[in-house]
Amino acid sequence: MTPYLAYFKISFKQNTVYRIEWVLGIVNTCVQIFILIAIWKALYSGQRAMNGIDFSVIATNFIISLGLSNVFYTNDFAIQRKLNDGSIANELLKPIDFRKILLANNLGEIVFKFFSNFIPSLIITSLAIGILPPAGILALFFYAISMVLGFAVLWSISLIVQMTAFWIINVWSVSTIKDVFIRVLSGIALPLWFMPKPLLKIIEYTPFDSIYHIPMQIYLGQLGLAEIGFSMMKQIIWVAVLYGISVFMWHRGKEKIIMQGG
Amino acid sequence: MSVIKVTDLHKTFKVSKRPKGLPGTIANLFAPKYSVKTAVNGISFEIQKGEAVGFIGANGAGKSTTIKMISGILYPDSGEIEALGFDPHKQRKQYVSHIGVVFGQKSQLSWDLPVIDSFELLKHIYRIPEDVYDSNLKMFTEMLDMESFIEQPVRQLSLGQRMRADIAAALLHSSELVFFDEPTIGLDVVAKERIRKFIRYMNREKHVTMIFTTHDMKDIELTCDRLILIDKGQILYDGKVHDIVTKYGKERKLIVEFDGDYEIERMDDVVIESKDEFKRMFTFNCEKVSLKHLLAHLTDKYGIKDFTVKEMEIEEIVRNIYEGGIVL
Repeated sequence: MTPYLAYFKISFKQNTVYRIEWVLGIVNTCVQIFILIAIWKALYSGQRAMNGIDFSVIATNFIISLGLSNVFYTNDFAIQRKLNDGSIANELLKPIDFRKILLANNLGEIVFKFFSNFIPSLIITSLAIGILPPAGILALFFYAISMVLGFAVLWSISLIVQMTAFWIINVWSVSTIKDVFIRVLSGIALPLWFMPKPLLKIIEYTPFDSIYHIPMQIYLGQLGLAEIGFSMMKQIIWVAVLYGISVFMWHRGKEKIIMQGG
Repeated sequence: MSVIKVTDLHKTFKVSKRPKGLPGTIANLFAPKYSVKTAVNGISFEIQKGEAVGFIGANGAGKSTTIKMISGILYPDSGEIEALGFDPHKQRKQYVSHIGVVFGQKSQLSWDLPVIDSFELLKHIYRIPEDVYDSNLKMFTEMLDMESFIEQPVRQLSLGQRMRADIAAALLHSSELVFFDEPTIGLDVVAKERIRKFIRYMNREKHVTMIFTTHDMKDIELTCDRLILIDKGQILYDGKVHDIVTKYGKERKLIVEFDGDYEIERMDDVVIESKDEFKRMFTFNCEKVSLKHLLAHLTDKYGIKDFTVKEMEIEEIVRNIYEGGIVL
């Protein structure tokens, strides 16, 4: 067993301990989805489509993307905490890759939540609201890959936020700003189809639409095969660029570690 | 074979200087002031395989900073470090798989996990072969007497138990080089003795190279052959523990309790200090003055109730060096 799998297992196990949190987590996800759907239902005011976008498309977007956003767990404060209590030393003293440990920890929680939170919420909200099926087997297949890439983008952005702890000590403000950008620009609060065209063009040059919007388009069958290829390419490039930046920050940041006394 | 080679190490810290009160806090917001504190100022030394080296120095002397730089946690501002043939910073992963570090003030074990689970995790982290893991674990459990608490979560252990578990964790992967940063801090005499005995065994029998920082001179006397004394970021003394004891340990103290208040006559080469009403302390060099004669002389002239003879302890020697009393 590799050390990373061991960390993954521990993280997974730790999550299974809290049963009440698990139940409340499902309630939380469902309530979020129901509220947003209710708001959009009011906006649609009984019409089936608005701006040429079907209400069922909007509902599907919220059920899947918002549901996943509660599962895609990243901890922006992981490095800050380790720097504050000095336990970063323990990580540096082990023959393992620190970023992979962070990922293994996150994935342990995500895999647990995917089955314990996302799937139950998906079933409940689908039955209550109604969801569009994937555009086809191939679309579902590409969606799965694109969803993982979307998470990779999200995770890399979080890693960059975490790395800022080496310079600014408290990452709270950076983390909050990041969360606002993701909420607004990735399609979980406001489906990007409603964005004005010029604004959408700009968003397409940012990594944010890679997180939830691109996978969603693939799921709904809005993209042709060539467009799917292009979009996934974009996702991969963003992961490479963002992850690269975080690696660079890690190497510069390590040199700034200060630890006096104990 | 040299295990560690350190050349001209420097490290400074920026310390934020904030004036008092609210105006100072606001001023600091716009124009932060820093002062530079030198923690390590040009340290060089070499350590051979199998050596046990004690680092001593007052708080803030730079010993912990030096250890943290050699173990790869902190980056030096300048200077060269080579340990086990690696550059601790450029080849961190290969390097740390051969070393172990014990911080007396901080546990490396997972707070919530039973000790044995932490050990299991370390087995995967260091990719320790099953048979090596089993034999090491068995040896450490016996020698450090961990049987009774190995299944308890770390947060429920006493300090002595936690320290033993931490030491075992640092050596589980058959480390060739181990750093102990104040491993006996806050422990009682029995717990200290057990840890010293184990450390001595690992050094003498298993030839593990060790670096030890402590405030307790007994730790050094009982476990180390070599002593490096650091003060204000520089090396004051680097040599055998034995040497410093024989060179500066010729001094004896004779403490005598008389049965009355006597006026003690002056004697050559003997320093007399009053302790209590009837107690006097005679400090002398045992090569110049014979203890036998001194005692005979005193019992002849005065009535003696009780006496004790003391050797000079390293602690005192070190204090003398600090205060400039002894020039090396």
